[in-house]
Amino acid sequence: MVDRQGGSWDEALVELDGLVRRGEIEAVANWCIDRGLAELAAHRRQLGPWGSAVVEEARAASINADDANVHELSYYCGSAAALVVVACARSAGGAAEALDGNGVFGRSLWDDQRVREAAVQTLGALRPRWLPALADRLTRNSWDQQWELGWALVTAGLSDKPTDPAYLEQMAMQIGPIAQSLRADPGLIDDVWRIFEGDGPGRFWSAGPASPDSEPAAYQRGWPVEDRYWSTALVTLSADGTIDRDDLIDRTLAALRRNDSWAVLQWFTLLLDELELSAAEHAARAAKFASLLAAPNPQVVGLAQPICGSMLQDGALRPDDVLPYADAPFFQPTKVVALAQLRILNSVGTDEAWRNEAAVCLGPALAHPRADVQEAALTVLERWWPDLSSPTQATLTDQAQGLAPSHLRRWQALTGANSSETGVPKNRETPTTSSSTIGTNDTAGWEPPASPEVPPPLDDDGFVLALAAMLEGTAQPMQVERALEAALQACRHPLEYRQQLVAPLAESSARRDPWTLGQLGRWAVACIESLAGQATQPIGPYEPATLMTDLLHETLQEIVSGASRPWTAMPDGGDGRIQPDGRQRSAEGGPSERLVRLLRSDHERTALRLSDVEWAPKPDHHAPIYTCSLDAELRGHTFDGGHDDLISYLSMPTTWSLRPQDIAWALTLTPHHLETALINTAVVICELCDNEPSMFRPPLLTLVLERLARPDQQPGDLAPLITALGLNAKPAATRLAAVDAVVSLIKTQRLTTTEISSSGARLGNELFKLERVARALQDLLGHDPAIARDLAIAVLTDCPKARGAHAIATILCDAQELAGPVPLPASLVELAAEKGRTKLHTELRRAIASASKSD
Amino acid sequence: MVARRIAAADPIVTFDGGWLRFESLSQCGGVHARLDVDASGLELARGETGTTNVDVNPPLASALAQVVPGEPMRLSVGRDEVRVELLDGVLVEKRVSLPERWVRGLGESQVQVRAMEPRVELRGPPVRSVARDVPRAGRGVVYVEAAARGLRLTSRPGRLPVALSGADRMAPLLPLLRFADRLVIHAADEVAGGASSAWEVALPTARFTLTVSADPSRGFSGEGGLLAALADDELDDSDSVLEVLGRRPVSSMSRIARVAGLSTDRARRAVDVLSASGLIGFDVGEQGSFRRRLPYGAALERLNPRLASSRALLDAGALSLDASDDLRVRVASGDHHHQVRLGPGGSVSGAWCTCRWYARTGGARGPCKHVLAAAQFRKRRDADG
Repeated sequence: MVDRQGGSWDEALVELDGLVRRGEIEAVANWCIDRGLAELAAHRRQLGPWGSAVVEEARAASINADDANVHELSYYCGSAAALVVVACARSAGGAAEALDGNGVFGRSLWDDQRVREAAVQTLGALRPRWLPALADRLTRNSWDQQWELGWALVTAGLSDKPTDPAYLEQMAMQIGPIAQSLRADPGLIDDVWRIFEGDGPGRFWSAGPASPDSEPAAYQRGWPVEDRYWSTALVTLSADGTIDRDDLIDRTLAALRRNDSWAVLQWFTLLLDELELSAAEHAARAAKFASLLAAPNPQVVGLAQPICGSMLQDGALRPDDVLPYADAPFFQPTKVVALAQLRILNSVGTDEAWRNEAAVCLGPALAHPRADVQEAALTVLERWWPDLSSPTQATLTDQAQGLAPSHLRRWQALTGANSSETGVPKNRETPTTSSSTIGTNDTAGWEPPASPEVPPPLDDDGFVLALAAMLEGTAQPMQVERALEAALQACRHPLEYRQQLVAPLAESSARRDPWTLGQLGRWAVACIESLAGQATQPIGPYEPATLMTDLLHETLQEIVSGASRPWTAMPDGGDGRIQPDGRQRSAEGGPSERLVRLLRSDHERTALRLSDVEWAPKPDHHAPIYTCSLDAELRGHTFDGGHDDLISYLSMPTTWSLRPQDIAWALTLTPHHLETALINTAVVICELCDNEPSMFRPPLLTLVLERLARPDQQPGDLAPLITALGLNAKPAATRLAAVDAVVSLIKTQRLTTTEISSSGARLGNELFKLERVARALQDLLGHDPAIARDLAIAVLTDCPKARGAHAIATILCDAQELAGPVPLPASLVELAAEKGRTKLHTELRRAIASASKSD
Repeated sequence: MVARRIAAADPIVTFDGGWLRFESLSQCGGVHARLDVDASGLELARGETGTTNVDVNPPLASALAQVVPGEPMRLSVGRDEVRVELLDGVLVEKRVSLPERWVRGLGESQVQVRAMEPRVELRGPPVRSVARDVPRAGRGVVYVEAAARGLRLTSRPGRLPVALSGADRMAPLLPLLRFADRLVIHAADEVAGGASSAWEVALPTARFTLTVSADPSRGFSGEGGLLAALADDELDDSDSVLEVLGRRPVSSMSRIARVAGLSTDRARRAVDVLSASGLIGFDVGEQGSFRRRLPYGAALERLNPRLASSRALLDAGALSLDASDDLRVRVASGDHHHQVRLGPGGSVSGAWCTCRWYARTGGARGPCKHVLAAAQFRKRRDADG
């Protein structure tokens, strides 16, 4: 074979091998160019494996060598061989695969300018049809890690610059040296502005090279600071006139107005900081800074507030520029933002000409969720009130409906009006409903939560649908029990009837892979097979064995044997209880069914006794650890279990399923012994205090709290602990379930506030966070102020100096106003009398004063 | 990040003579937002009814965020573009094609909203405290009820329950509460552990309505509320209904039926069919339908795969009536056989099937393809005598 240069191919290959092994990459590039794309493609099957083998040899040599010169030679040898493979690649994917030499030589094969230029020269001359696709891929995909080569191909004009956000993300992360690159290619500035406008990965600017805390390896190349970080690069470029400084500042301010996360926005605040705006630049943008007061992000508002405050003082910002936005910060829940805004308005209102407008803007502060913000707003208004116009006073009176009850007296003293005149709810009365025309439920008395009803027995259609639901894992708890019942009943029918009954499901169930089904699904498959007269596949084994799995096995055995009988463990209520008059049910059923029946009808709680239940806080595990001894006296029941841990046997198997409906079903097996479900799930329950339930984290705590809220539920030894954990829960759904449980438990005298608070105190401040408990008490205040008051007193008594106690004291003040004061315990009175000026002391004194005024 | 995703949604703009409506559907498909600007509050230079759908790119979004009170802004909405003139310059967004997922979502969301009733109404300062009361995050279901000082959250439904799941989806509403003086929450009864709700906020010369689906994992497009009407291909009253809606911006169902000379059932069916094409929306505040002038209407089967599949089953002759019960239909679907039991009179309502879809949803997300096919099959059999 003769090559294009007139020599034989074998000779050419020998020449190439020599060039490659000497690391003469420029010569290798010329060799490839001289051969041309067609000739390289014709010898792809020979050159590809040869080149790959040389790359591997070079890698091995590099790894095993101690000599720097050998390293260097290996690097260029490997690069040159890889270049040959790329040059004869069939597709962009094949080329990208050949480029994958990153890290083996301690640096990317294409990181070196010599190598990169050789590659660009070769590919530019050969122009394979996939070249634009390769450049596009390298500049968009992070996993190829060959951004430099992709960008070199783009800048050489061999491919168009990509436009999608993935490119922007890679550009922001990879380009460098930053300032130098931007000077060389001013077109990149437009890409930068796109990221400013939210069309890209803003967060990467803060997490990647833009962050002063982050110096990726690619940016530790000895570049000057201006070339390492985006913020410093942009500031440098704006200083030397490459980009317009005013434009940069305006675009930064525009970015800060976006409704984006702080992770994205904080880089822009960093940039603004580094730009070190002069007073004139601030003044020129006074209105824009004022508009940041209405930015959605509280940190951005916090950034604008001192600048606006300063400009107001200097006269650079006119009050009428700031007033259109001046109420917005009070809609942020952040206390520090609201208090800073009060200071700004206080400054505006010092000028009597602006006082009325400032007071109107201050109105929303009266309904701020933080009582101390309301208090500060009242302090300002107390000074201004006599000077305010009647319309302003009327507007503020309207806003005062949102005041915390404990501030109402102060408001009434300020305005000189009684509560009916102010429109503010009177003390110790049900709040007015005038502001709501439908749906207000303030006057409704407390109603105990109803126990869910047990669905009626299944007819044939219902049975088929229940089996279908079990196959799909969507069956509801009681639907499953009804299916067990219906299956036992169906056995009395002749085979032909049963075959017809399950025919709609027989085919689809036979196709199911048992391993993809839960245990209920496997039971349904076996049940269908058995009723249809077919051989039944085993449905186990299950680990760990539980009462539920035994129940399923037992029932299935009876169905297989053709026994027909009633299901004797069906509860009378959806929570699993068999009413006392239902105890004398048939004695039929296997041992597991009899055990379920016994547990569900064990109203005296004598069949199964947990004794010496004890728990201890383990903050390092972020969970309390329960210990107890179990008196498993299962009256009239011969249970030989064979299980080491009866508690695990009775409680939900955590490895079995995490679906809420399955857990709810498991809870119906022990309606009188909720503790058995709690003992070995402490860690799960405590995790749920901090995390939203998910498919991997079932809403166990919420389910247990809902159970506790039912008046017929006898709280066990662990109920106060569980309730305290629920009050401490971060997810709103769990916290609200705890509030409902508290109301029910106290109203029905099944638990006392002291029992709950003492459990909370034992948990300690790491597991019983009073800031969160205060949020729950705030919710409780809307349901039952008297219980909120009593619980607040109990918590303060048990945790008087815990972090966040002041927030509980604030709730106590409000609760006293709504429900009437009660004498505080001596310990709290003594605490209030201490010479402290902390918020806790202040609030306690306010609570005591409120009680004495009432007297 | 929900707010960011919603911000990325591009609006459909409709002018019906009375309202200038900006509608958007979230990327997750489970949040529908609509801003209705009262035309009487605008300095309207020229107004013709019509609809367009544009892509709002970051430069326009960024420029709009910079507009300060009192700053002039001229908005021109045309068939092919939306033009915004600000002090800093002019920005033009061109019309883009409406994603089919959006068409489905718009249709299904209006079915859900139509079934809602107002359950909470707040006026005055308590409206502004809603921002304080609504949880900022959370996947579990909480219930909302009115209280004198705003909203109260509970863990169990009250007398007029509003179930809320995925409270972080309320983020777009919260910044507007500052300007609001009335909030009405519309909700439907809970089905299968969830219920959608529509939060309508009255603003000066405008209204903003945020409709959230029953659960963050459930987009509107899969709810199947329109399928029964779409499967019934006997009568087409679409033109009559469109004519009625062309005469008046918003019309109640009873007015549509009366003016078009249709029974309420036929009017509802026609409205459903048009809604499925995105041609009709529902204004929960005015309790009436309004027209979107969009170039859609023929691709119903492509938009509704279940409908297409049901027709394929019919065409393949895959159905047979049970000899003993004429409400039972046996459906051969691929290698599987399913049994359908139709509702009273052979209707889709109350029907069930032994298929996986029905087992998973319990019928709460509309009929499966087998039920749709069975209902049509039986209807044709009845018609054939």
